[in-house]
Amino acid sequence: MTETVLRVRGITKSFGARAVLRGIDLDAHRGDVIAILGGSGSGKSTFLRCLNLLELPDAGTIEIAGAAAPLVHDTQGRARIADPRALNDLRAKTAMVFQNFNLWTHMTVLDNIVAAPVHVHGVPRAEAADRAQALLEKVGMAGFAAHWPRQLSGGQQQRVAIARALATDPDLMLFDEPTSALDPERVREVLDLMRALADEGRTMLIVTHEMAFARDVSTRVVHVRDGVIESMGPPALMFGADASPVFRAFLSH
Amino acid sequence: MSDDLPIATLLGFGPDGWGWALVSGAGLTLAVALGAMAIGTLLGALLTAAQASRAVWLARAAAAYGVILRGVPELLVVLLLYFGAPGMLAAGAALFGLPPPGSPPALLTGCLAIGLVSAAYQAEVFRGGMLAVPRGQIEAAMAAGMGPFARFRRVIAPQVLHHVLPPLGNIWQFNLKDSALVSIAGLAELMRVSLVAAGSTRRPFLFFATAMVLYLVMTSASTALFRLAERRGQRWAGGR
Repeated sequence: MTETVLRVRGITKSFGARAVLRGIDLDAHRGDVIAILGGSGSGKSTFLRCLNLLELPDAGTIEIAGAAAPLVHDTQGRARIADPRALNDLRAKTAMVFQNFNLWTHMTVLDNIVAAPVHVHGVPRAEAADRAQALLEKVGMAGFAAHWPRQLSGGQQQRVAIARALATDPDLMLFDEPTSALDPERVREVLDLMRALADEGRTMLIVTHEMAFARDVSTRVVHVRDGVIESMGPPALMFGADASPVFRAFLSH
Repeated sequence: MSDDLPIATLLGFGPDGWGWALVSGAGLTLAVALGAMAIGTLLGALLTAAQASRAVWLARAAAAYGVILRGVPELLVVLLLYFGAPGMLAAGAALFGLPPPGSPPALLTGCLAIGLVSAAYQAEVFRGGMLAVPRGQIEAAMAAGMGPFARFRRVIAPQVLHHVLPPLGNIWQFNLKDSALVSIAGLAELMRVSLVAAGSTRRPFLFFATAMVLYLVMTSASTALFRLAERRGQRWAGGR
């Protein structure tokens, strides 16, 4: 029996009159690598951003490694988080890697990596810095600790962003199209790194357009379409002959 | 008769010299400008927060404040406060059945008048600075579990500071010069001292030129300080 790291029930989200998510349930166990695929506008990124509540769902429950931040609704039915502290606790168990890296431009590479451990988790700075150096080595960026983000290429920035995400040893890592903003020749270095993380048992949810990566690395493929999970299963099944016709039609685009 | 006194005596620190008066005037000028800047920063930050508020009436009130205070002459604000304050205070005190408290100190009135105007300009500067922080970097701080205070302290404030330092330097310089308007309220700041000295010695050119030099010393010294602060914060942005 493996530990459930993520438990999502009944997530819905509308932007104005447009229903983007129409009821999503998903579980992830420790070590799962879940590739979330779908066309643009399918709701896959919105779903990912709901998990750490960067987008506030209209309804539903999210539980991450035992933490939850329940929603309450006001008289007009608008959702908000009941307890802001629970919100930050939930977020602190996750880490997110963004399409546009979003490194803090006024901090050095080292300061980017130690910021959350020191200022959110209360780790002593010296200890966090030691760990940051080890992480930089791991992502192939040893020697860049004193650089500023603007001095790095996109692939290098994304690898630093992954080191930043790893710095708090998160229970769940969320990747929001991590290679979509990279030059084609830089995609490989980031995908290789993500594959190494998968191999060491990190629990990862990855919104991506990299089909080969989803097929080769993920433990489960989730196809989101029109705000619901259209089909999901292990990659061997999803990329095999018995896959849902709708998913196969999506793949053949 | 001081017509024939040598310049060194007039500007000196002896019994016939205006040296001390000029120095303390310059000190008061700095005090008014500093007080105004502090009031302006505090109120300006509040106005920026109010303008970003979801409460529409609050946002509108803050915007209206800016339009009004930036749209009338500073001198008018000084006069309004200086001559209006005793009446307003008396009316306020009467509400509680208290005797009229009289005029507030001219230094306070001066700081407040220049500060109220400064706040309107500083609010605009802060608003621009906030908009310059990329949304994605704030989201990265949220995703890392930073609460509103940590986000402000670690991500927003340092970047806003970088963007607002140059325009704040300009506002500071305006504060410094606008403090001369408080001379009308009788505060013995540099402008007032030079007016009095010019009148009583009948050497206006000498004293106004001296005031000019003192103002220039203060503005260029503070410009240099702001430049230094800007350069310190610029390494990450690509400057040097």
